[in-house]
Amino acid sequence: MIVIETKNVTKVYEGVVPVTAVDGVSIQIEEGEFTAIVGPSGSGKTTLLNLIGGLDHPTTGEVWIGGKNISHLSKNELIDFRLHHIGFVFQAYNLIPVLSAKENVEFIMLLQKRSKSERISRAKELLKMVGLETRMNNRPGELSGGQQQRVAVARALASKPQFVLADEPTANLDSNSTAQLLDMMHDLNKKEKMTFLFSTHDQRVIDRAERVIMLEDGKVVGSELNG
Amino acid sequence: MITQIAWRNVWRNKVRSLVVIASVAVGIWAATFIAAFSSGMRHRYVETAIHKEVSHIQVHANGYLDDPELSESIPDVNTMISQIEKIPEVKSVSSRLLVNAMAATASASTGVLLRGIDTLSENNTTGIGKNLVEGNYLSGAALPAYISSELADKLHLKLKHKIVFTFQDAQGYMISAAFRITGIFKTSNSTFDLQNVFLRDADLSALLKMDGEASEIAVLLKNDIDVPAVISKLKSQFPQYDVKDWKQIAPELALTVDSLNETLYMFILIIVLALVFGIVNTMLMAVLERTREIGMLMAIGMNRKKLFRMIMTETFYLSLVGTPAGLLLAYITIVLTGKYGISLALFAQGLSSYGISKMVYPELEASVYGVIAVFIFTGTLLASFYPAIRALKFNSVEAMRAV
Repeated sequence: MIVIETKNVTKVYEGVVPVTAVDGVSIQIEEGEFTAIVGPSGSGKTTLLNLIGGLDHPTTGEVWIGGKNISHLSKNELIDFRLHHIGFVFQAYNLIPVLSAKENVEFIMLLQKRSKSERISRAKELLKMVGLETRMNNRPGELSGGQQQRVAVARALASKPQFVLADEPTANLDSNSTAQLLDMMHDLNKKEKMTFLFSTHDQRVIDRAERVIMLEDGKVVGSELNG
Repeated sequence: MITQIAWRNVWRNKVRSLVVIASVAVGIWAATFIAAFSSGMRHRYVETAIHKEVSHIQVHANGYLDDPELSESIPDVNTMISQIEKIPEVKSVSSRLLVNAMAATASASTGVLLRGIDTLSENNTTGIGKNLVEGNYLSGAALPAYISSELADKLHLKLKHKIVFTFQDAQGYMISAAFRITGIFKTSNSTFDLQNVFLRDADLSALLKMDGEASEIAVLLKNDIDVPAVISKLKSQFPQYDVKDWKQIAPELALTVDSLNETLYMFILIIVLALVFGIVNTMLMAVLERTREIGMLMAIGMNRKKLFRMIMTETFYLSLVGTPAGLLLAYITIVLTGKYGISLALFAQGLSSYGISKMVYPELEASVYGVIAVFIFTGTLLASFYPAIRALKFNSVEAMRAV
């Protein structure tokens, strides 16, 4: 089943000199895929991910998520859509520094108005899944980069999204942390059938991806399956 | 959890939060203390004017206040006084025979108002005898005069010197009489001091051939709140006379009270504005500093309503800590200064010309504490509107790119 589909999507940033960051991109992502969008800096990876994640509107074209066209949703509708359908993992972790690991995971479920007992049990379960059961009460400042990114993954999964978008998730991690994070996400992909879509230029991520979509100057220049 | 995040956000930057809390506390302290100071000054000014000069109520013959001539006097004043004294709310009654005169010495002269008084009842009503600084209170000579030190300086007079007063009687005949200065007084109102000379009622009425008559009757009450009740009693008892309260007799008093009130409101407004701008600045800094985080919150699904609530709650907490601290500080200051007073000796001369005492005892009704607290509390919450709205305008993608 197709979870994500972009139809001839273009994003132009207006300015003194207009910049076309994404140029007529059409891709389809099936449920349960573990896909990496790769390309050099400035190739449009993050912009494409933002368009798919409903963080930005395409200039032209359409973005369909789970059979719904989100290209014309209002700002408020998009916020609500993201909350219930998409999990985000950011390059800089972006956890809430004043909350503990458990509270960070709980927070997104609070926004979804889930009950306290459900929030607590799921947060614990997810943190256990990412191997942080002993660091639940630590704040982000007390965790390493790799541990923070694992909390971010747990937070992304907490809302029970249709898929997880990860923008350069390993950019700030060392080799060990990168390997652990990739193992963990791969396991989740296999066990939970969770769809993952990365933007990356990290060869270690590219090597683990099942499918690689190559972008250059905002255009898809290739797509291949990893053996 | 939103409130929990807001509370923890408050303490992210302890110094900044403590500065905001201190600003709120100092703002409330300053506004409350100024209100108490103003109230104390106002109260003392009015009290002084009522108890030392005007009294609560004055009775005149109809038309006297429009044209204060001796012909418009109250006859058989003693009978009237004894009737007024029977009213239970009345503390003391004093009659005065008033006449404008020229006071002259060998070297100077000036216009004054002669006040022919019954020494005992006038002292009970205005305490003028207690303001004696030198000599005796209208005794020790055949024709004693009681003048102020200001007037004595102006006319180069000393105790036992003679002073000549020239004035017209009710028939228009000029009368000149020499009085001996037996006492010198000083009140807190230099203007009053310069203009008034006290003589014995019997001496002045004999010269004017107005025995048993008075220009005015001053009535001092036991309590300020009884003024309307006693006014209506006097009006029904003496319908042929003009009965007025202190506000009508001395409209400049009410005007000064109003001016003090207006000045107070201006001060409080300035304090609130300064506080509001301080809070706008601080909260804006707090919001801009968290641009990335706010962008992330919006990205993961925090809607604008919740974001707005979170930022407003942060200011609410800051005010919630600052407000009681400010109120407590103000209460302690007001109690202490209210007990020992604040001396404005440096400005005594200027204040004295307005009849304001150099000692001020700040005082404040309990309800005013609440009003000021609510006023400033609301002001601080309104101040956080702009930073909160600014945060709502963030674009999540751009905000997350912020350094």
